[in-house]
Amino acid sequence: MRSPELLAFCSSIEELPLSVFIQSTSWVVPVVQIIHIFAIAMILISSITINLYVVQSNYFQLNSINLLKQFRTLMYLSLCFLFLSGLVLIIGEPARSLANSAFQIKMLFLLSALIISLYMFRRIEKSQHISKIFCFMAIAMWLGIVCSGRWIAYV
Amino acid sequence: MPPILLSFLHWLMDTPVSIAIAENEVLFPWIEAFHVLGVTLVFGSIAMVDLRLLNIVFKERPINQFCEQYLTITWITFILSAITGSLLFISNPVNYANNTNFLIKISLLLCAGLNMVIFQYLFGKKMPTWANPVQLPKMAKLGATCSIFLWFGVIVFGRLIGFTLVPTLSS
Repeated sequence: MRSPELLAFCSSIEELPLSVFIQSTSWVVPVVQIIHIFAIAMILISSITINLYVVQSNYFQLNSINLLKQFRTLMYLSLCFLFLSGLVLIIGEPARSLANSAFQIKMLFLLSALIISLYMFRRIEKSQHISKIFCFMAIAMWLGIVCSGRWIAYV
Repeated sequence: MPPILLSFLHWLMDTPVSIAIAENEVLFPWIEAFHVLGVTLVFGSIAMVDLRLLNIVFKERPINQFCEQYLTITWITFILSAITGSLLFISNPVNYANNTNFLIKISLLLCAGLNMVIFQYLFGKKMPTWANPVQLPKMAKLGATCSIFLWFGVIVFGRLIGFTLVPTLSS
């Protein structure tokens, strides 16, 4: 999707003082991209741990709910870093992200991953059964986020 | 750079695999995407092991069991990263070999590997005997700290390559 309205919106962001600062300061984008990568690394490993626990309940032997909550906290904390760093990258290069089909696919993956994860956390909290399909879907979504994220540079 | 190494890199650049990756619009981005995936999972799984060894998080879990499970993920994703990383290197070997960030990344990677070998040699056999909770040997904590910083560096300099290398398709 690359509508004229979206491109006009991107242009208006590009004129913001913060966007101008990010564009004109050479170190901002590399540093923020590195933070973005570390955040996704932590989310990936947390998500894989939680989902493998649910798929094969003795795989990581997370029989303590406190331990599961630690992974959830790590995931939420990393998500904050992911969103903030992602926001800076969008403000710095709005057309490269918002109007990019790989970015749009990444956002769809992200939305799906968040919905599935929140649904799973609620079920885990109540010790309710979770279908394995959700676990595999959640992992697939996070893997898709990483792949589509890298594709933004090429589309 | 020694002439023999340079001629080897030029030979590598003329191989069909190198040309295929460098010229195909889809191949390079896909290999890079899987490389990023592999590296992030290597870092994530190693960070879990190191944080556990440092007794910062997951203190309830027995160290040996915890580390073994994550190190399985580390090895699988390390193999993925090594294969995809080699393919990326083959696509543009002369430029990679002349890139300072790439050379630093590889040096840090070798140090991280050496750190793992030393850790395994010194503590590998003792780990199952470490009770829970446990006062870990200082050397084990030092190894875990070095590991986190070395892998942190691998990711930082790995990302910086994209900003300093003449790319095959895009940065």
